[in-house]
Amino acid sequence: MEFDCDRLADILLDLATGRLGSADRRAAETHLATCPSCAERVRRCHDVIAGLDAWEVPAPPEDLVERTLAAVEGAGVSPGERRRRAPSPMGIRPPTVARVRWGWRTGLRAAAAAAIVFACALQLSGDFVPRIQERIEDAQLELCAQQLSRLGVALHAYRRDHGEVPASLEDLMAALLKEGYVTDPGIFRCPAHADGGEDGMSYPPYTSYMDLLGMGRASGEASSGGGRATAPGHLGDCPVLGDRPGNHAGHMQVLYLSGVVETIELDALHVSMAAWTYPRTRGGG
Amino acid sequence: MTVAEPATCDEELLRRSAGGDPDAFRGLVERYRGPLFRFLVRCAGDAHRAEDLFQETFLSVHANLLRFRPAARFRPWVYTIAVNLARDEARRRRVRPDLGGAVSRMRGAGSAEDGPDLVATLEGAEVDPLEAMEAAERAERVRAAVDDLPEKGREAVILYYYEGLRYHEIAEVTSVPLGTVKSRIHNAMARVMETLTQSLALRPVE
Ligand SMILES: [Zn+2]
Ligand SMILES: [Zn+2]
Ligand SMILES: [Zn+2]
Repeated sequence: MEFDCDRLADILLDLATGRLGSADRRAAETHLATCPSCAERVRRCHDVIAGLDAWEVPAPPEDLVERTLAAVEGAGVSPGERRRRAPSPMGIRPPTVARVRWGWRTGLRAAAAAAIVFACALQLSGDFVPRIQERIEDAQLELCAQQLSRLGVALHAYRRDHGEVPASLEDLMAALLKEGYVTDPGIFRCPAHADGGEDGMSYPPYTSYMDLLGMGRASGEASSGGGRATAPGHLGDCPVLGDRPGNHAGHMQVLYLSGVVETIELDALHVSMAAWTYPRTRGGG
Repeated sequence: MTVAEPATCDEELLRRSAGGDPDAFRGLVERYRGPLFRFLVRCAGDAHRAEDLFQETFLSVHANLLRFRPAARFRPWVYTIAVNLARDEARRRRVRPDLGGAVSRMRGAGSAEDGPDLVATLEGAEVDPLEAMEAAERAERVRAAVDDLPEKGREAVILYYYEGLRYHEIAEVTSVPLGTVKSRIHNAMARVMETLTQSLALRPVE
């Protein structure tokens, strides 16, 4: 690629802040040796950059760490639990809980909804399309909730029989299938996102699953966390697994250790935070 | 103590924190004590506010420990929380204290994206504005110039230059496309240069 003045303008800042890789830097230097106007730009850019260094900030207070840990302790909440403190964490509103406590009986509705999907597939035309799309999405949410709920029951049965659960979701899936707690491998895939995410899972596990269940700490009751600053108080509140945020348009569903399946409405900000965390639910603020 | 030998990655400390290991959580706080505090001072313009925001950031990290995605990275996440808290805090204060940015305020505000062009600004500058200044004045002028940037341009410059985040990390933290990040930084740097030049030109003659 020809290294011209435009290309140099493009990488000017990276050059002046020393962020270029050695190949790019050599190419830039070659150009600068023959182009006085670019060389002058770089010199001026260096001046500005050097100026930025003049802005010094005070060192953090000696006791910043202690005070922060005290604040966390003082907030008196375990991870994942509600914190009632203005402003809301991350500046985002808590998600709206659309439907909580999905029960067995609604499974019948899910079957009915699946029938609707089939019926709708026969008449995809004209004005019906948006409404049909909506119905398909509703049916997918229902089926997904049904799957998660059944996984919750299977997980509880497994823990009851074995006293612990496997350390990874893959092992869990294998064990539940092998020992007949579930029969359809499709139950681990969200019907709205059957091909899974980058890692092939459309129900990725939560950190709490891996750390609390997988490490065998959660075999007992909620009180097992006593004394540890960050141990959760209510294990039932722990999310186990759930949708990727992209599975359903505007929603995701989560299975808690208590067996409750929750449907959460996602707003745009939640979607952007969802790269790092699952949205907080169950009234968490 | 089992804290944080340098080899332990942030995400491992986070996982241990989520599993109930208080030393791992302390290790995380200690690790980010310097960088995150400096970042917040530059964003919020004040060490006391920065300390509050630092604590709030880790309160939020702690409250979300169990929700952290197994495959996600900690550093962009913690900066994202900090950026959002700092924005909120600035919004609550409404008017930021005047830090000597009168010059560019006269030009009127502008969005972070449609700032001046960096190359053109460098070209137009007739003197090196900083060369003529005493160190203390220089520090104050730079601070004021950065502080006077539109919020998003200021964040981008601070993350890019002072925190050394990569373009793609800044894009993650501020939830905008990579191209927007680049133009924000370029325009913001041009604006800083312009502000410095103008503030020098308007300096009372002794
Ligand atoms: Zn050139
Ligand atoms: Zn789903
Ligand atoms: Zn609780």
